[in-house]
Amino acid sequence: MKSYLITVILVIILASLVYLLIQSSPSKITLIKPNTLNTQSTPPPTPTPIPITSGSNLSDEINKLSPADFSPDYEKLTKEVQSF
Amino acid sequence: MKYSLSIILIALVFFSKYSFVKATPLDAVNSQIEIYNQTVKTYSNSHQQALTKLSKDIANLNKQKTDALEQNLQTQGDILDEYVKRNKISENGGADGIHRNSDSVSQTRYYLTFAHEAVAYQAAKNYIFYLTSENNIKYDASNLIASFETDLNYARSQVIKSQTTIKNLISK
Repeated sequence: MKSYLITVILVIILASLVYLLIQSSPSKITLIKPNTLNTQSTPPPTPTPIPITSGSNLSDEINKLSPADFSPDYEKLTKEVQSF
Repeated sequence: MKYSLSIILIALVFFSKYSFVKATPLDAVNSQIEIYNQTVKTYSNSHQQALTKLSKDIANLNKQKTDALEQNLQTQGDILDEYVKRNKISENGGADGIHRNSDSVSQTRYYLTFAHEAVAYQAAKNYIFYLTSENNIKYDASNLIASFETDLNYARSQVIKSQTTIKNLISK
């Protein structure tokens, strides 16, 4: 009876370990399904960057990079909602 | 008897994974899409079309802006590389591969990498409406826009932070 109990406990521990290994396996990682709401999106082309050459003034180049304010784009979206 | 009991126990443990499976971010997104699809069906056609259009516009704007930010960061990287080249600075990326160097170029690269990650994270985001009721459609849509605005502004702020750090390094 005692050996039977030990066998059962060992089997449970072993099975739990295998289960945990399977759960944490990298093969479980699945790709995110594409957002069905956004399948028709046609993004505009991005501008080609100007290469930084040995003659470039680096301070000028970095100052040119300030990203534009996005507020006008958000306003367009808000206006779209107002027309609902 | 002993073996059959053991087999039953193993089977129980394995099958339990179907009832105790972990919820992943993917599950959360899919569940949100499912809820949205079910709810939007009950809305009028015009509202359904308006929501679909707005969703596409948000996705397009997110793609457009994150692409531009990514491009900006690529140029920032080129400028930093050129600065390192001109000043003949040797970089070893941290002596042990774990701890970062505390020199100003390494610190600057850290902010640049952080900004890259913030932009990539933003680019991968899906914006799905949380619809409460058709009467609240404007409120629900505005909520999503506000959330998108906060997220995109955060990514932009990281790009500016990286730019400022490079600017400070160059002007030293």
